[in-house]
Amino acid sequence: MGLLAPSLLLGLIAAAIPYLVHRIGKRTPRPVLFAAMQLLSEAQRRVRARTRIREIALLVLRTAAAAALPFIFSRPFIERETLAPQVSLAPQSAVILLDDSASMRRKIGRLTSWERAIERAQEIVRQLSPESAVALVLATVETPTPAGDLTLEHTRIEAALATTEVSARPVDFSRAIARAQALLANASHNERRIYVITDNQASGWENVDPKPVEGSPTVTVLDVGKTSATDNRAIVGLETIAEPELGPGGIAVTAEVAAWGDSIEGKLPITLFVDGRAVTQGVVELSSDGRGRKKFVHVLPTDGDGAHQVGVEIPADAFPLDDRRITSFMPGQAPRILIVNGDPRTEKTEDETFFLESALQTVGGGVSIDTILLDDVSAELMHNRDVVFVANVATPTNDFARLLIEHVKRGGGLFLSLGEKVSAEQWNLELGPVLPQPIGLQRTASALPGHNASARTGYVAEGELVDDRPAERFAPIDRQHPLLGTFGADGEGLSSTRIYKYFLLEPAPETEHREVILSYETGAPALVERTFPPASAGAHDPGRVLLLSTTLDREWTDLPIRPGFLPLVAESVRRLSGAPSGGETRSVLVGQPRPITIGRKHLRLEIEKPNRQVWIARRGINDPDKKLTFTETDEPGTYRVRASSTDNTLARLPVEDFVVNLDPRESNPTRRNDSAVAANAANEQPAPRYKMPLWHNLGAALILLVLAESVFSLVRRKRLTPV
Amino acid sequence: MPMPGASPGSANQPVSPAELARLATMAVRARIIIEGAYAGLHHNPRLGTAIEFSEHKEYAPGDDIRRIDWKAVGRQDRYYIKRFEDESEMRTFLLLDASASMGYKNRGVSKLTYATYLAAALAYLLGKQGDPAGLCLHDTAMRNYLPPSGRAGQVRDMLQLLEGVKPSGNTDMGRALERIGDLAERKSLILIFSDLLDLEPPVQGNANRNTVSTGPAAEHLAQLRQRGHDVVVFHLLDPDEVELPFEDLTEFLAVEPGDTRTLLCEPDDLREAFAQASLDFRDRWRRACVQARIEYRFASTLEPPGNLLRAFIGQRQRRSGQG
Repeated sequence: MGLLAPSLLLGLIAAAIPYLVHRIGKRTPRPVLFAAMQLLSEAQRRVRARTRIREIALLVLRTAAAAALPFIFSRPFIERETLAPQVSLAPQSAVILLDDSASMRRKIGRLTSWERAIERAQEIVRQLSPESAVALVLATVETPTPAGDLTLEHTRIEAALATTEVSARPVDFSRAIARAQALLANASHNERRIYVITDNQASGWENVDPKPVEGSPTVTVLDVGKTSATDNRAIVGLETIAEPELGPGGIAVTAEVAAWGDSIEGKLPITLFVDGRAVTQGVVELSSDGRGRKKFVHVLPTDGDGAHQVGVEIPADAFPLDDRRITSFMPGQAPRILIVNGDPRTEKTEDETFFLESALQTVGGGVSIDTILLDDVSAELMHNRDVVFVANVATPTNDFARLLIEHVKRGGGLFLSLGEKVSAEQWNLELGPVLPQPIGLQRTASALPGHNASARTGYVAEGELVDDRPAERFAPIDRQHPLLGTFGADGEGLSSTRIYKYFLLEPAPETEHREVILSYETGAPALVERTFPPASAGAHDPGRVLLLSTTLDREWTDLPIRPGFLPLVAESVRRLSGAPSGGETRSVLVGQPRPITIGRKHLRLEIEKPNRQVWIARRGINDPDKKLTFTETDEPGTYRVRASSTDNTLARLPVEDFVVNLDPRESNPTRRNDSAVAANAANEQPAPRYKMPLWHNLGAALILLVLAESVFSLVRRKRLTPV
Repeated sequence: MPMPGASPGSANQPVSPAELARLATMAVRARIIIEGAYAGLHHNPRLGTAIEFSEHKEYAPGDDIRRIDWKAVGRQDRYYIKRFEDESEMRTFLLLDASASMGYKNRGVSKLTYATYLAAALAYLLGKQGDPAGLCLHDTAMRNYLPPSGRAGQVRDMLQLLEGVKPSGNTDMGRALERIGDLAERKSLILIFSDLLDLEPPVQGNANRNTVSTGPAAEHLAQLRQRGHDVVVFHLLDPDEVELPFEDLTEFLAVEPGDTRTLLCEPDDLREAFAQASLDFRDRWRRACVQARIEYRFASTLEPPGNLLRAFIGQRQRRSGQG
């Protein structure tokens, strides 16, 4: 114990006062000649012990009370080892920045890193002087701030700490520290601090500048994970694809497993779950780099609503959240596709529909494809088709056009692709009722591949005109459209596509049934959709027509060889057929948004989260399709979608279900290697110590002593006073 | 002078010791006390002794019909009267403790003064009854002694002695009792007036709470009783010796010469324990007297002596069949 003002201990002299009063200031007794001395002696014998104890107790109480005052003024304290950094006792503005990412759920001994972090945060709040302003900020992305303003009411912060829960969202310390700095920018105190409480995992610190900016608040990092082991095993990837060789419900599930720490090599048991039931067990072999892949095959039932939860799991460790991963897979309903090839070639790769057919094979679920020539078109062939592709057909006949129009009006899907053969005039004439936009003139954006002789020969001949115009590209895509939802924000897979030639489309009246899905950089439409609602609402799905203003082969564009071609075709088939074509439904990571559309058929959409909470969105009965972004992807798990139609019946939409998985970055326990952490480890600095003042306790003790002495004396007087 | 046995409804009520002290002479006080004691007593009171039954005698005309033993009549179908052992005149010894402790007083009169009132009243009564009475004043030894006598001036001499007695010296009750035992040749009534302080007190037995181990004084008392004497102990204490009413820091000093005991204390601290000790002290003497078949009477000096005597005389009457 120490004393902040030891000189005031001179006041201890006052402790002798009660004793001196007792000894020196005695009253002069009254002498009385008394006959019954024997009775007095006997009475004294009886009370001697009790009286002595009472006298001693009173003396002690009074002495302690007198001694307590100088002690209080000398401000004693004791030093305690503290969980928190040595907090300045001076008034300050402080932001407590809590790492609430998924990795904080890792257990270290009895407690998780999160529980330790809360303890430390509470310790900091307790140590701060009452004049200090405090705020509480969380480090994960898009998480609401529990106490986002500096406040002198420390109880508010403590209450927020008691109710804040750890998240599964990814962490971004750069943004979080910037937010904390913004809070402290206008703080009234000179001393401004940010206490970052984290498990010091490397993930999330990538964009943080290690060098502090002069004048910025002091950042103190409290590492609650330094005693944790750096071992972890996690499932970092899961893919489920159709396996047609196994039949309509056949799937192949590939899990990617990663391990960190000391024993990363070896075998690990792994289990395949379907709809919550373990169906297969296996072993995944981890290589020396801590990685391993395991493939399962399984046949899903094709009855029911179609969507199945497919997951894999490894034995739980200190961080169980990443020991399981799920996908949602819907066996395909085998769309029936008819392709009308308008430009057949003997050379396979030059055939108009070669790439299309190849892409359609990946749709999965036993898709049936028939390719015919225009001359072979008949009503029988058109019957019971989900989607018809018309690729670079020169002149649709009247009968063909009629069949196509009837097909669309029955709710079928029609994909029209253009090319060199197409007669715009005939198309507009015959297919005008279903065309999304009339076809205009051809436009050459740049030289077709191989057009320049120099490209073939390697040198430019004299007099040769070289067309070196750059090819056309697609404009940035709108991921809100269901057809493009699988693509990344930058349109990866499509953005690199080169379009050399395409048809311009004539303007068409604005209508809610027509939508440009893809455009060229020039703004000209590239892919346009037109929807044909049924004559009576709910009779059947609306018919849809997609018009691609360029080719589906490589004659006018290199789209067929771009990564985006397969998903574009698959999604087009899915949309045009109106029935799930099967495949892994959408999967996002925790914290990532999910675009949602409330289509014309539905008035209300519900999304049930894994924690059973329900998110609801509505559309006005006369409103167009409503596009929304669902951002509450807080927890890993399956998010189930329901929708109610105009007759208010609520039905499941398994095709819209999606899963949310943990960001694999949270699984990597590799710790941040910053100078502060290294310096501490190298110097083995002792834990900070905190001066805990004792004068408050002494003050309370003094009050109690005085009260006890008063009560003691009062009771004694009442008991001895004759009634 | 009104005769003893004043009729019921007398205006004479017991007078307080303080009022008695204002009276001129001991003779007046004695008379007043006795008159006050007689109030409520119906018959001609007689300070009988512990009268013991001797034999039955067949009733003859002229015998006191109050002595007819009706139980015997019921058994024998004849009339018999009781004859008691001592129907001749009874000698009475009045033994006063005149030691220094008896001189204590705080409120009212001292214990010795109170004892002289009682003794004077009883001497007066005995004189009127024609019973010979004697007086013995003692401390460590017999200080003054008037042998029992029925002569004319005996009461006067006793009252005179009582008037002039002063408290002094220590107490040796045992010696005084022993001396009285020697002097009382035949069965007598021995009335003892003392505070019984500083005598070796009786001690409560452990095995039987009703058994008391007696000290020398109590043993002498018991011996007197065993010899057939009728012994009565009047245990007198000042109210201060019952309740300890003092406040503030007090130094208590012993009154008896040679006793150097002192006690400095806060009376508040001892009051409750003192009251209990005083009660235990009286209770031990009472039990010792009961054990020895000695009549025990306690009074504080604030109590009117007439009340004490009334109770005493009344009980005697009832026992003798005179009530």
